[in-house]
Amino acid sequence: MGSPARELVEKIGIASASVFRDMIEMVCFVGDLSKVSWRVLRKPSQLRWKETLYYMDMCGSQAVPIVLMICFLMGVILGFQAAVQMRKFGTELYVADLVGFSILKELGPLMVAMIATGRAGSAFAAEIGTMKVNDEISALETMGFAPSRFLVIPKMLAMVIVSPVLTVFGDVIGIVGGFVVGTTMLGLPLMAYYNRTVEVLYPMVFMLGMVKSVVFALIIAVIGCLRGFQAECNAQGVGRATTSAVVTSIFLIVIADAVLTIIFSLMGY
Amino acid sequence: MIEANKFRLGLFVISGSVLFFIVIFVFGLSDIFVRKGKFVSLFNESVQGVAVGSPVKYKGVPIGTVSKISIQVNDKLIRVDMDIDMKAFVTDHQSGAKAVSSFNDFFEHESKMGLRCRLEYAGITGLKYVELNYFDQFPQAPVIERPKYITSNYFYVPSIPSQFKDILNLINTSLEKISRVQFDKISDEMTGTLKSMQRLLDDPKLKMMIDKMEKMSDNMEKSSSNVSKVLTESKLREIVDGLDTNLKSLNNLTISARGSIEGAKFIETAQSFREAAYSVTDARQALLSTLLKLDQTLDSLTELVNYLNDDPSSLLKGKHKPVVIAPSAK
Repeated sequence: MGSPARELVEKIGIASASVFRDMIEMVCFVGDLSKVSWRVLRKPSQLRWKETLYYMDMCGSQAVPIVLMICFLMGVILGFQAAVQMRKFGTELYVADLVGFSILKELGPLMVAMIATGRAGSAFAAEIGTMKVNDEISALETMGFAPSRFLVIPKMLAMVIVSPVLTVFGDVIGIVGGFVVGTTMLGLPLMAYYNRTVEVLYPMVFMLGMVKSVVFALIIAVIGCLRGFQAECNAQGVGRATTSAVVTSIFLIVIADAVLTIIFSLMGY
Repeated sequence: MIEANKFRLGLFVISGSVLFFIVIFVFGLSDIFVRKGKFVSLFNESVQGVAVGSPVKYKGVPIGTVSKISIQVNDKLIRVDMDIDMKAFVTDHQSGAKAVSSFNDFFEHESKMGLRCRLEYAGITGLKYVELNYFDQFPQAPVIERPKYITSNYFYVPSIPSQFKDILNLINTSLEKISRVQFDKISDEMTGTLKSMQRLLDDPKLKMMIDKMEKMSDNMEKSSSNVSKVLTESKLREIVDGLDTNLKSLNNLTISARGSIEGAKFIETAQSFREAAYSVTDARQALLSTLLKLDQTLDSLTELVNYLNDDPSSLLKGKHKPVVIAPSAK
């Protein structure tokens, strides 16, 4: 047994090596995906459309109710908190600005990404992890099929397509949430709130949210699948892979959000 | 593998796409189809608070937005380009070239009549908007004439300084006036006055006077305390009772005097006096008349005596008749 200080240093070293190895694996996985994606782009017939539609349905249309509810409540909470503060200064109408910008630029894409992480990211990790436990991945490789093309590309494409659509739903219902607070709690005229929202928001704000949602979708799909492939070949391993997929996805989504916000700010938006 | 619910997926994709285009259209893409007038103005002051998208208002009515803010390096003026929604103006012609012509005619006329643009605060947030209106300025600021680099595609609206700049100018003027006040001289004079006052206060006569006043004050306090000792409540009551009795006596005296006056029959007596006065007046008049006649009689007697003195024979012969001379004898 070494001293506690020596043990601590060893643990830090092991953890650092693990993170570094993980990053290397992630980069390799992204490289493999890029190669396969390019091949699919050149020959779209190689894409498994049936699976793609299935994942679109699972990650998109089935997620609409929860997205609507969460984003509506987010708009209500945001509007309520803004109203409480702004009422002190007699600037209630600016609730429309705050809710509109916050939902479109940040909270809409972010909340949709969180929901998608919980639903799709974990499902992807569990599905691929279970296939790995059942040696289905090994069978594919033995038969000469690239698992990425079969298993990852449909999921990734489905997420990239449905995530912006879900974000549109989330944005609209979030603004409606703020609208409800503005017209009921603050007593603002219906048209005044609407006109203010339309006046201050412009298409580029909306498009920035769309760009973010696409980036978040890629992160969710890639991390979910990667953690599935990295799962240990037992039931506990699949569970850990699922948890890790969710945690890593959320962590990377928040980092990506910060980076994108800085980039957009530098671009003047 | 479980297949996708294609109806649900289709509904999701279609509704999402429709919603996407509605949002894009509502949040500004509809502006592409709106015919806009291009306005431009030049400012010689800070335009902080104005940004691309800031509202432009005509007499408080939102008519457009700021589309561009730039700096003209040749004259160091801030150029603000504005997009004006022509739909905000109701003309006889709602569309086509005639509507544009009508819109241009309206603003050219307004500009000649003194329409100006000014930066106004939109609230407490520091944001500003561009207000088009007729402004009363004090003092009159010079108007920036239309420069040559503004092409005829743009409608030029001259600007005037904002109210905030006016306030700053007023403050500067006030501070300049304050700076002219000779505070050093005032301070010296005040110092001299204070020294004089100090000397006055240090004067022994004043101290004596104050001492005397203090003694007087003490004496007055003592007197006051003595008076308060002497004038007890019972004594005061006695005095008040005495005063009450005296007042009652005075009242009785007044009543009896009034009875006596009423018994004296002043009216009848006054009438008698008046009649006696009239009699005296008549007698005086008669006396004056008698005296006048006597005076005349004396005059006649004087004349008679003089006549007799001149001609004593007239007493026997009588009065001479005057000799009448005929006109021909002349």
